[in-house]
Amino acid sequence: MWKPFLYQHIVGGIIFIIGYLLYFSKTDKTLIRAQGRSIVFYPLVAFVFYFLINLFWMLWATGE
Amino acid sequence: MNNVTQLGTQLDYIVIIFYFLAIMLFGSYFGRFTTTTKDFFFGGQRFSWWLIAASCVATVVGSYSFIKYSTAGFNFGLSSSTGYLNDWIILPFFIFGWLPIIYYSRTGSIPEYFERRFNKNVRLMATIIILLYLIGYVGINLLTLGVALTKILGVPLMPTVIIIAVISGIYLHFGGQTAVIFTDLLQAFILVLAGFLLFGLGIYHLGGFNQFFGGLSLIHKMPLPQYNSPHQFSFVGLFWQDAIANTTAFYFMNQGVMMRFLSLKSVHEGRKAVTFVVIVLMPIAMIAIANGGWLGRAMVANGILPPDTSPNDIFVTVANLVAKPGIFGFIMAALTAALMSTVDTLINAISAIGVNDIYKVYIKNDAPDKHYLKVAQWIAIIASLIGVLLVPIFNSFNSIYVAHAMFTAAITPPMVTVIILGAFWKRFTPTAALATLGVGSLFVLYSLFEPSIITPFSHGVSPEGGFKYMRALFSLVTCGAVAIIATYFTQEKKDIDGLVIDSIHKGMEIFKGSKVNLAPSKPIKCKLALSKENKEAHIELGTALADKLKINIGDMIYIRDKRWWYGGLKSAQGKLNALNNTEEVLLSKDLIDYGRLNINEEVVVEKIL
Repeated sequence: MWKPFLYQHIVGGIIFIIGYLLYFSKTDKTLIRAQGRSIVFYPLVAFVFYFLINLFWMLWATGE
Repeated sequence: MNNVTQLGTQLDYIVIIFYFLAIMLFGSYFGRFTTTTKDFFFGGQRFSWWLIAASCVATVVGSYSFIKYSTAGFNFGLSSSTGYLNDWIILPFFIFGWLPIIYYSRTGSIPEYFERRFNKNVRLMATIIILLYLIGYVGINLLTLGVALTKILGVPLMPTVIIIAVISGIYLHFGGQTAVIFTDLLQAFILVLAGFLLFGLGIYHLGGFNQFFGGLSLIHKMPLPQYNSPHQFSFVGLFWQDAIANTTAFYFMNQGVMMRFLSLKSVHEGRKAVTFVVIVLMPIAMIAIANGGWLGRAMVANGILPPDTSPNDIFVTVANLVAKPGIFGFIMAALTAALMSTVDTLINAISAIGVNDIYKVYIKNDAPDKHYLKVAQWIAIIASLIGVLLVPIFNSFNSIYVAHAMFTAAITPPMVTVIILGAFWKRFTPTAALATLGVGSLFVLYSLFEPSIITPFSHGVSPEGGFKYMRALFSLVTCGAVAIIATYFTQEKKDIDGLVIDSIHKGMEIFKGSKVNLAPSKPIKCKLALSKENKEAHIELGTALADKLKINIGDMIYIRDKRWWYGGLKSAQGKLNALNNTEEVLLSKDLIDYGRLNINEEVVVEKIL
């Protein structure tokens, strides 16, 4: 029952994190600093939002 | 598929015809904002994030979406929404890498990026693949809508398709990207409103939310499909094909979407737009398009619809059942809106590739911009025509959903692999890119004839359906392997500043033409005046205002009408040429005319770079 949820957030999460790692390891540090924290948070907000939505949806659907 | 069974009333037909005319006139109005190819393809690079976000959603939602997701919703329940709720996975790649790369490199098309990043051969191959991808999408969208409208209008498929193509072709011919953006904004509103109207009426018809949720089984209530069965709707299949391959293709390879983001006034606006799309608009759109199927399932459970109701017809069946005369027409108009807003984007994209990657490269490369604008407008008409001609071909497939899946699964993985590695791996070589497109495509084609080769990647999905959805994982792995192996045996390309994530900062400098000014500042309001300097594209600003904006001479500056709801339609952008002692921003006449700004009125001024 929970396998798709785990797969989505573990495998999807790894791909998601690779996107962050590429940004921090390859982009010019002065540019990262100048662009500020807000753009770093944009994708993170999306991840947390969908993780919580799916989690509560699973709990509701399974009645747990 | 083509059985004609007339639904709806006269009032419904009037609503649909009125909608057709209104959208054609509305779109054509924006022809006045299109005077150059930059306007036609990129809307003059001036729009605000919310406008692009809304129009993007209308592009995502094709007419096939209502049919496809309602059918999936009927068969598999709420998990039919998964395709709209998993875009977050590739969001960092888009926001941090691809968006700034294409924006700052001033790339006009994805094939053009391929030539600059790799070489001419890769560009040619990409041009062919992307044109197939786009034209195929036009055909599929036209077919789906034609099939749906045939049911209610009682006319044969082809005349319906031709009418829709002519309407889209006309407003696109005149208005280009600006017409696409504004008609898509309107159509996004219509299709979401109609979707929620259907949902509300359906719940009312059922007798409340308790009857609705009570009519759904446990499996139908789950947010995600079952792990590896059934083969035509398994979680892993959708994860690799939809969340990874198709979503990446949509944001990275779809020329129309790329052009939409290039029409924004800045990269930061693009980041806001895509985040808003993923977090807010996609869930809303998902409910709007899939609820017909969920309602249908609950109606079967409550005895309102017979158990043998056809899943493929569920959207139209539910809409006809619950909607009153006039409202049914409005819902069908939304279906049309979904088609037009997708097709216009695709046709505009075909036009851009036709001009940038075929006409300019192989036919005429030294003509004035007016000439290319005319060519672009005519390619839009020709692309509409080709889309219509493709409809009978696609109609020969038994299932639109399967046809669409096979098409995208076959051509997207090699392109997606090359785009991602090209943008994020400096070492990735032109020869490797060519090998990935060529050899990678051969692997994908081979797997279509010999699906058993996909078994090691199947995650236990039954081979019954030929691994249609697991092919994406197989293809991405094989294309990735070809790309990596070929890279280590071939020579990397030098001089690719601004075209890979490692050198975005340099790309910004190339974009601006000098060192970038990244000092944070907020937009300010001030009065607009006409510059006395007899120069073109001249911008002056009061010294005190410049201090507030932390802007220097030579920096990029954006001036827009103070009314936010224009979304940047009335705006101009350029470089700050001089400072003065006034409290105003002064523009040359050409910029004021181009931006349709009013002298002596208050405007909003912003530093871009």
